[in-house]
Amino acid sequence: MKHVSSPLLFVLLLATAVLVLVFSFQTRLMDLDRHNEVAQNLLRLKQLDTQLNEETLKIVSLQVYHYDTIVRTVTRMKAVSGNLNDRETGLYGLVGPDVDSGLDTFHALMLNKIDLVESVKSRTAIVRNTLNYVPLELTRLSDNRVDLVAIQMQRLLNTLLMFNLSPNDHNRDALIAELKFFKTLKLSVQDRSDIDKVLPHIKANLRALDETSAEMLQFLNLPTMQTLDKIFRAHMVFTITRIKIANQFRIVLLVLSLVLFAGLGFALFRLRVAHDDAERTSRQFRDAAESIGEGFAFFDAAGKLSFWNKTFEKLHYGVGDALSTGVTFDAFFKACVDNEVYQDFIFDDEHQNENTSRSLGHPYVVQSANGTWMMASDSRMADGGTASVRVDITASKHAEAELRQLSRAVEQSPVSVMITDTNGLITYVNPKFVEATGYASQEAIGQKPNMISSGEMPSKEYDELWQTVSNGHEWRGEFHNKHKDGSLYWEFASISPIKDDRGVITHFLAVKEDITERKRTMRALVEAKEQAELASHTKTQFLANMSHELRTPLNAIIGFSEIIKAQMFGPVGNKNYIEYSANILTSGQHLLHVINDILDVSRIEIGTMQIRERSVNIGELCHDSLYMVRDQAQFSKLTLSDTVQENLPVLRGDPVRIKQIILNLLTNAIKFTPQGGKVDLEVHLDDQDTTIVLVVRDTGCGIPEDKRETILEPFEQVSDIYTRNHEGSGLGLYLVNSFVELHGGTLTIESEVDMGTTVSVRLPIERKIAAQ
Amino acid sequence: MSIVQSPTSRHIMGVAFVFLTMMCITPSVRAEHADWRGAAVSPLTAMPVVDPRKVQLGELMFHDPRLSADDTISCASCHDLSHGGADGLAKPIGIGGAKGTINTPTVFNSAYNFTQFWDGRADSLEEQAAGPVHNPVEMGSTWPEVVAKLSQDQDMLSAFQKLYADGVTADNIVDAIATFERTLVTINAPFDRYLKGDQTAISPQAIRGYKLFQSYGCVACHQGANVGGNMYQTMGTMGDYFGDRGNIDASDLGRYQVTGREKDRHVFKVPSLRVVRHTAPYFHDGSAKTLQDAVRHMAKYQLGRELPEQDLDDIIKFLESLAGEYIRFETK
Repeated sequence: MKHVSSPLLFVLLLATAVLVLVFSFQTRLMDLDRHNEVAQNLLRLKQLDTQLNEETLKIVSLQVYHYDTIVRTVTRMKAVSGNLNDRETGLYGLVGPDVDSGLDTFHALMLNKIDLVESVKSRTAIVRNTLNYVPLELTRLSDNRVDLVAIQMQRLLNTLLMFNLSPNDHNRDALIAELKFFKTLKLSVQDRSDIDKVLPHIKANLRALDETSAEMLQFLNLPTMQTLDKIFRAHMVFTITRIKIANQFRIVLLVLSLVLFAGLGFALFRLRVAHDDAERTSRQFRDAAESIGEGFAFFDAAGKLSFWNKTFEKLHYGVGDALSTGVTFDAFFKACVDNEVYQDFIFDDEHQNENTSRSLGHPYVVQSANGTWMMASDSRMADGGTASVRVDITASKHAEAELRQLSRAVEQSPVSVMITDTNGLITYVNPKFVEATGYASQEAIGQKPNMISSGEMPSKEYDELWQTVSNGHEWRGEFHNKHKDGSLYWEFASISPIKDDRGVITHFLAVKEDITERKRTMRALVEAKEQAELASHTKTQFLANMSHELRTPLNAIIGFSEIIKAQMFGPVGNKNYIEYSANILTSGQHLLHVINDILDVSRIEIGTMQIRERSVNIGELCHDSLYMVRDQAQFSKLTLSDTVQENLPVLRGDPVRIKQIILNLLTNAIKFTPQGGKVDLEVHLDDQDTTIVLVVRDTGCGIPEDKRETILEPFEQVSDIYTRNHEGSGLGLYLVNSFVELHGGTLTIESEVDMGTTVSVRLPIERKIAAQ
Repeated sequence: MSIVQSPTSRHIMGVAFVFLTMMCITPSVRAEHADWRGAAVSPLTAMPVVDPRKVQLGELMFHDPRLSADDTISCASCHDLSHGGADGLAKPIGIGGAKGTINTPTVFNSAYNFTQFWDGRADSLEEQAAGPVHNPVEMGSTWPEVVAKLSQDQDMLSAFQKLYADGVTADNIVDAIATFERTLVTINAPFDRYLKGDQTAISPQAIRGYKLFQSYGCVACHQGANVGGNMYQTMGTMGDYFGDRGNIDASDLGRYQVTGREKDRHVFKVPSLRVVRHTAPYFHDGSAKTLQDAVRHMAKYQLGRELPEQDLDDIIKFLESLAGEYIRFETK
């Protein structure tokens, strides 16, 4: 508002003042109503004066019979004159001394005139009566008489009437002469008596008429009309002058009004602009206040709440109605405390008060019942208002707590933690570091990490490390470090960059674990393993060699025992030899089988197992296999069934091994299925026509879950109990699985203890032969 | 026929007759035609009432003796409304039995008088009312005294305050009294009814009296609606009334006392004859005990005539017919 120029305001005020002055002056100048009234009264007075003149003349000329009319006229005249002479509402004192003296003059003239009128009224009554009486009397006296007296009487009457008609000197003299004549006239007693009765009437007439004539002369010469005209003219001149002045004032007034209106318009325009500005500012302020993350409220100079933003409202959700326009600061604060929006006050020590009141201008922290932490500050504004700022510091409080936890975690960590700046200078080490290195944290901080280096690590590796972490990646590796006391130890370190929000590396973090002990153990283990592996390989080699060496004599045993049993070269003397040879054969065959299996295992373990690949008719193989186990199944009183899909495609694979797979599975199934159970072989092509699926189901003892993994290991059987029941080397499934894998297939076992086992083998038709 | 009549004298006689016709005959002819307009006497009419409450208050004031010094005399003491608005005395009796100096004129129809008092020294009823209050031989009081007394009367105080912004003041008292007095008009007189065309309203004798009243010239002064009260006249225009009576005192000087001019000596306001039948004794000095006396004296000293008994009776009959009735103004 300050820019709505004070000069303009000044001009406006001045114009208004002048306007008011001019107005007041003009009203004093021209009381138009009063002037109108005065003018009307003057005109009325002139009219009444004229009327009075006419009526008086009528009276004098004996034309009226009563005086009510003229009395009314006189009364009115007095009243109008009285109105004009009124100093408050009339003309007196209105125009000037000339007019006032004119009014005085007129008033005196008017009273004089009325006085004359009263005189005339009285005289005329006399004249009227004498004129009424004398002619009749004289006529009566002279009637029917022809003497001199009668003639004289007639003459007297004539003279009287002449005088009354025209009361001039000549006629008066004539009348007076007649009267004198009658006084001296010698008359009879009767006549004298009669005449003497009449003569006073004539004298009265003469006197009254004389007086009337003189008074009428005075009356008519009274300059009432001229005086009135003078007053009227003076008043008119005055009025017109005043109206002219008033008109000039009106022009001034008009100009001033225009100036005032223009000024007002301008001021209003400026006000409007200022108002818009203020509104814009206010809006901006509000928007700004809304946009800031902090809660903000404003209490005006009277202490009444006048504004708050949404954040403020959110922070004070619990206070309810107390957060409304017009609430005083104290009431609001009390409501906050009562509603537990403010509790757990934390003040600066020096501003702590005994109760929960606050110190203006000094921030304090409160926690509300819902767990929100607020930094509060109520500051006095220049205009006496109060600006309240509430910052939600819950997050930072939580972060603080988290940080504290983290810090504690780092402090209490069982691993060494070291932080360096980007120059590689240590800025932090944790107690574990101190323990591990023997250096106190004061000693370590500011040093380079190589202070603990044993110096064994090639510098190339340091460069790599530096390269890695500088590029923002984590480096992992081992250090061989030197303790303060000179002892060496191994550490596994993870070094990673710490980046700020912008992704700029500010620090490096090294987390190090003492692996000296672990490293020692590891080395021992590796050595042990290497030894074990060497032993195993030797064993396998040995086994392979042994098997081979075993097989050769077995061939002789089997071959010759078979020859004996068949009595190929003639009968044996004793039947028992046949039976014995049969036993030898069976045992030899079994042994051969076991040796073969061991050989296979050895091959597999050494990695010399080879698949001789050719086209395989899987249906035939199944058929052969089933045939081979039928006796065994019958012996175990099992139901052996098969559902081999017809027209199975030709598989590429090693027929000996595939047959071995089928036979092994079937044998296993039969072996582990108690009497009366079922064994089923199912062969079919899978949905995609890419895989042949072999499924062997039994209703046997099943495989416990924990064994399903190890059952595929060599020499494993399900349990010792079963081992006793079921003979076998435990190599079967291991070999099956190995062969299946060699064919690029998979083997899955589904089993439930005491319910049975289902082994599925999936062999791809177009398979890749394992690269062996 | 006169042998000495010259053409000139004939002519003059003719003119005189025109005069006479104008002066005397025309009014009576008009009266007979029941048209008083242009006639010397016209019917009395009631005055308009502006504020009935003021009439009521004025009536109270009119009858209030506190207007006098010793609370004994009210306006009505002398202007007895049941006695023709006058006191029936030659001269009034004021406070403490003080003898008044001039005959009490009637208050009836006084509103129609062009001035008040015998000498016309008051232009209005309001002006007049102050006269008796201050007159030592009448009420002998002063306005401040009266106002003080009335102001102690709570009823009076509130009555005034209801009607006047400034309460009890001299101006307001006389305003109320004058307002009341303007209702003291005797209308509907038999003669007025006659004027309005009722030929039987008055007796033939009264009609005759009216004609005599005019032809003798009484009507020259006693004219208008109030039959007088609208002009001054010298007492004794045609005779030496005061010389004949003797004992001339100040009250006999008439308007001379007001103007101091010689020509106003013995000049009095011509009184109204409207209620003359009720207001004996007559004249400013109360010297005429009866109406007969008064009319006879008037004829002698004002007209220079002697009246035959018959004419006197006729005129009196006429005068008696002038009194109308006073109807007390009733506030609704």
